[in-house]
Amino acid sequence: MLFNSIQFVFFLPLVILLFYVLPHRFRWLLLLLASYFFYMFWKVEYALLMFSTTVLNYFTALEMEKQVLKKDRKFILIFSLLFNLGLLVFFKYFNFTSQFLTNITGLLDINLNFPLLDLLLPLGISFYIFQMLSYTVEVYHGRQEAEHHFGFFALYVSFFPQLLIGPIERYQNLGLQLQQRMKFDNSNLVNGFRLILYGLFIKMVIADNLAFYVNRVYEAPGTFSSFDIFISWVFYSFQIYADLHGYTLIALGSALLIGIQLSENFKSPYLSRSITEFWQRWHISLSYWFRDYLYLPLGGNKRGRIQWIFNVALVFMVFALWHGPRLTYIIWGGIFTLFILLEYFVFNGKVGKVNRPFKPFHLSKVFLIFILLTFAWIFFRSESVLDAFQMMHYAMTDHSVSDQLNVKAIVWALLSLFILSDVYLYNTRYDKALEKLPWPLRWLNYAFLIFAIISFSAVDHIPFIYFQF
Amino acid sequence: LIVKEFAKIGVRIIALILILLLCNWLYVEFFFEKDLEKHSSIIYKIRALDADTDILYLGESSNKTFDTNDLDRRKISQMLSEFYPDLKIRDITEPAAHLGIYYEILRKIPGDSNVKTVVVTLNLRSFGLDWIYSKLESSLQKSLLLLKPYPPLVNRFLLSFKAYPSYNEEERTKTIRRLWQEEAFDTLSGMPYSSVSEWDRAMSRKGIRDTLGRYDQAMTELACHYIKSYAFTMNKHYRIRIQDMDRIITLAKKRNWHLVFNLMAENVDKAELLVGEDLLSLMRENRDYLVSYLGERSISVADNLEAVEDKEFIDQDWTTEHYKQKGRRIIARNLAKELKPFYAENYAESANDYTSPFEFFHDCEQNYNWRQEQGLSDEFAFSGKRSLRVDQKNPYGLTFACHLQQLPEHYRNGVVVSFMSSANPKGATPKLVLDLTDSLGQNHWNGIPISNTGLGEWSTFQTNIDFPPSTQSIKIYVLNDSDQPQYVDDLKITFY
Repeated sequence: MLFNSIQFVFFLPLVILLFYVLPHRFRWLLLLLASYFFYMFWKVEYALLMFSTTVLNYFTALEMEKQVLKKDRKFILIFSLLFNLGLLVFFKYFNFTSQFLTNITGLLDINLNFPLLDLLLPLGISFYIFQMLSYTVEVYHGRQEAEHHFGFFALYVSFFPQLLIGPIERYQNLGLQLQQRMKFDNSNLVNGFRLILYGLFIKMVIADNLAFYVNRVYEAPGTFSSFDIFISWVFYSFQIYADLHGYTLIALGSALLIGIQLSENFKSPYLSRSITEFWQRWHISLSYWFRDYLYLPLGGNKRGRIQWIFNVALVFMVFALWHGPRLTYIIWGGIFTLFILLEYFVFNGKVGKVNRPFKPFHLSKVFLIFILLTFAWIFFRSESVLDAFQMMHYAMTDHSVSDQLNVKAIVWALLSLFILSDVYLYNTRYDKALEKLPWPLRWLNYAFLIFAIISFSAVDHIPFIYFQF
Repeated sequence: LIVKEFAKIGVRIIALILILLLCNWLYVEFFFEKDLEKHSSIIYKIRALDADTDILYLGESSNKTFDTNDLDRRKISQMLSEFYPDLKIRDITEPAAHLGIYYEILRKIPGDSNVKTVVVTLNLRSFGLDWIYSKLESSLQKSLLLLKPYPPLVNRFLLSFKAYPSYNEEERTKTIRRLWQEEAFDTLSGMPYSSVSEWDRAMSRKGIRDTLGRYDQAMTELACHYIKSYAFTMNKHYRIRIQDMDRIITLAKKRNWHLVFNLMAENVDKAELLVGEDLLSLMRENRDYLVSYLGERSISVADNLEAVEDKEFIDQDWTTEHYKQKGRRIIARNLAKELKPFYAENYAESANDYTSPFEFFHDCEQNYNWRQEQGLSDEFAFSGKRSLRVDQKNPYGLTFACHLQQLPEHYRNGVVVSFMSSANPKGATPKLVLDLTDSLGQNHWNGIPISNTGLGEWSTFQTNIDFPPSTQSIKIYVLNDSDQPQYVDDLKITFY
């Protein structure tokens, strides 16, 4: 089920209503059933896959907890890592590897046909597997006790608001909240709806309308002018942000309706003054996952410069490969590695803290960082490296043009509004910012968002970009 | 405290309702029409329907597709007019439409419309999985959302939240494949295969052989496609269409419309040739089911399933209901007979040879796929509402062109051209051009001046020409390059 579907419009209020009507002891069951229903709406078979991995991880953690010797715990951890990552690699890389081997053997005149499986990547698998891994690692380190109640654990894995594309939650945050007795709180309800409203607005009105123009140019860049190609690059930067941020806000809002606080995933990332700062503001739960479970265990920046460079490169490489088997992702990861290293050596490690106050003279840095990010997104969005370079070639040369982007004035107006609101919401969240406004302005805000969502949303199905990962 | 909390919520709900009412007003005032134009343009076809229409024909591409060699390029619905010259027959044609779409269109026909009879195209293929899960289905369903009987803002809400079925290509293919595999034929006659997949595989293995006994890939693929298109029995998946059919019947009763279903011809010759008797019997069984289902409800059906022979199908390498002129004329004639019980007094047997026409008429009311139809104007008319305007901007009026070989054998000696004419006799210098081409490729241009009595006054113009023996083809058109317009109406061309 999608957040921006008619089914969800009925599903969510029903679940919330039942949640508050039911006694506390049955609520976990309601949420678990609702979460599986939410997931099965897409494909029943993959719900079975999620369930079986949940069972395995549940018992793995229990078994790990029982072990006294560290080496035994480590053995179970390795088994868990191999199983979970193996599953992820299987779904993401099996067909790619088969095809690759078939091609290679073909080139060597051996002509072996490696099998291709009729596989669809299960939605959300990258996220719920990472969430379970974080739980297992936390249990291994003793920072978290293994959950003995299978229902709570299954709910932690499948909690529908954040199941498909995060935020990736630690058990210490989400798991424990799911067990708490939640009382009806009007402010949670109001703030939840505010976040959902704003999330829907930036996904359905901003991201999906921009997608229309971006897709047109990326499908046939040679038919558009250089200016249109530049516009499409800028639009994609905002599309991917609005798409992912919109989803996260709806997730946060949906969870907040039942009193659960999920982690924030975005903090005005395009107002970053450095690439390092960007990664502290962009898809925070995922980048922190990589920091905590890969970068820091590798030694972070504590083992000398050479090791640090290697660590940064490796983290971005894994991060890129997590998205899937495409050279464009690897180049995208490589670009970020380069940016981080350059930034470090140029500014001698003083790239500034996230929370330092924003000054007007920072605007030039923000602008520069945005250009660099937009450049990196070209590779992320392109189907192949050749496509990316071809597009850049078209952008830089005078070529014949047969099409025009003709961006509507309303799209420019809505995008400008989104950018302004992102500046206004710098280091705060929509629901909190709205609380400070007098009621007429708040209601004006609601009226505008409701009107815009209904009247200006794109009408075609445009899946959330991160569903493909 | 709880009461206070609920009171707060109550106030908010009321405020929300007020906001929604305001939004609806704003949307209707400033955005609704633009959205209709963009997403539901079918409404314009419904709105454009003449209020005095007697018979409404609902069709898909079968109605309007013609072959490039056709002399008569009219739609089936337009050919029907030949049999009922006094009645106003109009069509709404939407490619890939099916009963579900027709129902929504019919629902939007205004209550004060003059329509007395509705002809609904019934396409056997539209009951198959290939069509139910068609690529075009999403966009068709999407286009109907803004026409739902709810406030416009609610309809736009449904559109924004994608309340229409949508499959991506991968899901669509997988669903169809799965159903082809799972659904067993439920038929009285014994079938050699239990499912479409099994039949398809067997056909693919066996293959169609060419004259030298070699595996013919293209013909085998076509045979498999015939199996996929027609090998189904009216099991649970057909119900979606039957339900739509029932809804149409109920609506027609409520609106006091005569209802006739026009079952389109399928290429049964090719189905039998490529796949065999089994497929043909399955198609017949499905046809019989539909005819008897409608018969039980006292609804007429023009059964054309086997009416058109293979060579009259335009697409020889795919399954479509696109017919050449003869095929369309046969269907129009069958349909005309089915309408006879309602319009016995209006019925007139057409003078035209139904297999190969020799008489052509343009009433200037609708487009009949003649060349240069852009000059049709609604300024004034001799009959109906429109006539043809020929002037400096459009100096070449409606053009009829044909090779004499395209005419029946006994109608290649000459032509009579007649029409109603109106122009300022002093200003305009119009001509009727009869441009003949001989066997050596030489053109013989005959410009016959058109006499007029006055602008707004209609006079009959008629002329004829005997073809010299070497004539191969002819072009007929009105030419006027002066700034004074020449108006022409009811243009008739009769070969003899």
